[in-house]
Amino acid sequence: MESPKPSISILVVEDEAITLEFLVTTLAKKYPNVTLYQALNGKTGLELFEVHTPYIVITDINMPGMSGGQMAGKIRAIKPDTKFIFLTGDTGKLSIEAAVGNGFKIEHYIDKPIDFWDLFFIIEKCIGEITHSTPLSVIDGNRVRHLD
Amino acid sequence: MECYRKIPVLIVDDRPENLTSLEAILNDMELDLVKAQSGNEALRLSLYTEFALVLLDVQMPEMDGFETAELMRTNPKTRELPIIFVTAGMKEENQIFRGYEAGAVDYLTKPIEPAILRGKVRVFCDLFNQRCELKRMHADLEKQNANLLESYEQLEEETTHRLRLAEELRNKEQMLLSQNRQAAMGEMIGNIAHQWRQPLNTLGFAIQQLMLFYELDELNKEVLEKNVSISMELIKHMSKTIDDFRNFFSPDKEKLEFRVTEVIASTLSFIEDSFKNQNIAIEVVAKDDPVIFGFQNEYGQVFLNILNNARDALMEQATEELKVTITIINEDNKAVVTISDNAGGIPEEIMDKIFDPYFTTKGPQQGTGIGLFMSKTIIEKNMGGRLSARNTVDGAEFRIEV
Repeated sequence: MESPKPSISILVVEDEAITLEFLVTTLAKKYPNVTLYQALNGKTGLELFEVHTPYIVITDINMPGMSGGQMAGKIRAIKPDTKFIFLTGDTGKLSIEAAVGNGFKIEHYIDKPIDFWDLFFIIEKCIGEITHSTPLSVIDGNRVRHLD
Repeated sequence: MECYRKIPVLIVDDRPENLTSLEAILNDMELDLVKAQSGNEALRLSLYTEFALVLLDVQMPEMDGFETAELMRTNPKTRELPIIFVTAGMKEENQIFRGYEAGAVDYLTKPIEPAILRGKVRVFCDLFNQRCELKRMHADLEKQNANLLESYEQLEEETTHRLRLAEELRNKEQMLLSQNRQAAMGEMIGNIAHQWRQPLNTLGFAIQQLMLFYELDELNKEVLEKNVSISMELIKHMSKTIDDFRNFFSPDKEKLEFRVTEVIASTLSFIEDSFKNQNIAIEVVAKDDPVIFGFQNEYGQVFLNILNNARDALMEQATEELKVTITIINEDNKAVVTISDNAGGIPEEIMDKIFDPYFTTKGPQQGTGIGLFMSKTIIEKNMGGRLSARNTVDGAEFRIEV
């Protein structure tokens, strides 16, 4: 497996602590060269983004206080080309877009329960877009839902 | 039979002077004396008037008194007419016998003794009056009977109607209860879905991570133990969730003492994920820890129903800080729980209708219009408390007092 360039960073926002821990430990093992930031709510997520401006934001939608969509809207105002990967429960694509606002069109979202390999595929696709190169690794591509 | 002030008596004799003399004897007896000079005339008159008595001369040309009497007996209209034969003195037994055979009731011979005639006439007049009175009473009784029967039938009809109404009401209540139950169950299934989605997702993570770590050659006993233990915790939690849901919807068998804070905490555990998904914050302010003697699950269902209404109202709001505040206090020996939201409140024009059955502001798919009606019934009828609603500055506030 090729490793992404060290400059890549990902922010993971999820309000459920154990779920967040699984996400972060998994991504850390899978992408040892990627810098990971984690937040348990939208507000902290936004604060971390302001400090570190990561390339990719993986976020849950439904969180108390600031939702994933609301946070994404604020992040886009700071850095419009940020890549978002939404992890959704019951929220439809359209309501996420409405929550983000400003004519946002969703690119990547994964329904819960989340298949790690779907997530890897999308992360690598985003990294590929950022580094203007092909995706770094595709594991079992048949299990991945293509969004575009 | 009509009752006359003057009693009608028919006097029959072919000789006008005899009629006049009878008239003279009976003159002061307040009688309506009708005279006939032949059997034929007597028969004709007796068909039109109901006489109390006929004084019938026996010896008359053409048709004698006996023949006249016989003819009167053959006609149903005159069969009962009392007859006193008046004759010129043939006292032979066979003559008397013949008189009685024809149906006569008495027999007088001339010369007529005025006192005897008057006495006999009076007896018949009294009889006539009594019959008259009897008939009148009979008619009255019959009328009363008819009235009674009518009222009885009315009563019976009314009773049937009332019974039917009561039956309909019972059916309706049953229907309402089952509709409410079904609506609540549907709501609950949605809540279970919310409640399970998160742990299912995490469970999926724990399992997939094992595979990934194995592939990365990072799988060791520590990771395995951790993920198995987390998975089991999640599975137990999910198992407990369905038990809680099942217990919550089992009917209360009897009134029990329960802590309001406990019921509220367990009810909130069912819906917290659903509320979180809608970005609705829930704040609980328990100033006291009141105890209620009543139906615990029903109480919980009322609380849940009000919370669900608040959630539905909040979801229609554009505000970012959606919030439900629950306060629990003791007030005048009553457990008071208020549930307030910041969804803008209930329009004043429907405020007095919200507890009516079938009243709903939601669409037919979402609302049955039963929730608040049943809630009021549970709190006020079943538990002797009070459920009310009012508007605050930024939303609606429901108050449960038991």
